[in-house]
Amino acid sequence: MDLRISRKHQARLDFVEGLKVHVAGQLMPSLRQEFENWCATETPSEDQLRDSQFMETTLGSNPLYQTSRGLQRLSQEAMWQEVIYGLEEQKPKIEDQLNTQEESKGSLTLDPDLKMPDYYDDTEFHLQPGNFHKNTLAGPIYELGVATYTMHRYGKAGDEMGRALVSVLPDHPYKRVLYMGCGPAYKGYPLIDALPDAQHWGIDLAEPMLKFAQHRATEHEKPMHFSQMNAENMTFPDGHFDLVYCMLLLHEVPTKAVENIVNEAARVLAPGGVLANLELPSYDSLDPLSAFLMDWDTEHNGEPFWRDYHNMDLQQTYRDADLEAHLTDAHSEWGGAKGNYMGKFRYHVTMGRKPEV
Amino acid sequence: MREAHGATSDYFSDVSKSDIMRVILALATEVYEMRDRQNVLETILSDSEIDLGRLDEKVEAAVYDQERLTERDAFVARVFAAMTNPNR
Repeated sequence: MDLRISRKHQARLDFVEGLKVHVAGQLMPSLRQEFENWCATETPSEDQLRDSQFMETTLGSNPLYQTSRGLQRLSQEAMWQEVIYGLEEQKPKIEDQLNTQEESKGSLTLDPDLKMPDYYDDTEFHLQPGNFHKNTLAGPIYELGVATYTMHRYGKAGDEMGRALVSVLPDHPYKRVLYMGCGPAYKGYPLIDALPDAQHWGIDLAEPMLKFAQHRATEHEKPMHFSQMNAENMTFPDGHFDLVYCMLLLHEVPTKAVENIVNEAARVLAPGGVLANLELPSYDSLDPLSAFLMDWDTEHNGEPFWRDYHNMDLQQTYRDADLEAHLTDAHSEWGGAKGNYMGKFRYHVTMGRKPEV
Repeated sequence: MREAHGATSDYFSDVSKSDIMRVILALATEVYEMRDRQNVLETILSDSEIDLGRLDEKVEAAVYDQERLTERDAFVARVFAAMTNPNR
């Protein structure tokens, strides 16, 4: 599927991306320098710097802070607007492709009776209009939007997160692999490449995402079975998978849903199987300014569960599900090279293993 | 130097937001007129059988075209210069 848009729309989207690059590359380093200069003079304590109220009071009226936050928010709104305008021109053609089942080594199973959780129905993640399930073009909109959102630092294939996860996967004879919250699933292609003899499954709540995922996987010859399912209540039998993974899923759900998903993952894992959750880093692993800037997304960038996720003890949640748990980290091309508006970072991977019987 | 010449003064601190919006609205109107004239120019060129296909061709993002990328980043830097360096 050709997701290029016409020149006039791409020019408008290029401008919006340029704005994001400007915020990340010019405004944020200047703000960081001002903040560090202030810290050197005022010497706030670590506790103060980790207190969001203190940081808001310190930075809230700073012109650079206000400009960077305002432009970050407005550029996000403009990004989705321009992506949708650009793709709308091709809507009939894209829909036709999505509704055409082509022969593939994978499959697609939809459940039209699946009820969307209230938290999901009421949210537009990353401010994406219609969220992932209310627009038939949600998949292409997501792919084009996220490429702009991350300033193309995911690479052309958009799969750097999957490559990061592959780099830290423990050795194990993985026969069946499950990607929870797969969305368009291209981030999972590196796992298909790394584990070519395994059977790969992807589940998601959103029908538009799954239809796009299936179409895309067929085009790219990545055999994957897609099923519309809620990760909190999966229909797979006990012990069905050797590897269950997710990437940037758990911060999109309420704490209770995280617990349900981990419990379900533990249930469908075979003895010795692995649960791997790749996420952005915890607040306490970042410097105070980066942590404060990352927290901004909770209220202002369609990430309502972000703060609660970062405040929970996920390893304990794993242990409560009778999984052995530890934390590792993986290199991020997105967060490693030039940083994002919240600074440079590495991915955190919470690894769990189901004990052998 | 900047302070001595009053450059850090907030000249517009008491200017009403409504009046600033009126200026923005006037600017948007001018831009719309420019677009309309450009549309007329494109029609004239098209009627003269000059191929305008490149205006609407599908293209990749500027990040993959160094010339467009350089032009874009310079444009953004110029437009937002005042807000990027408020303390210069």
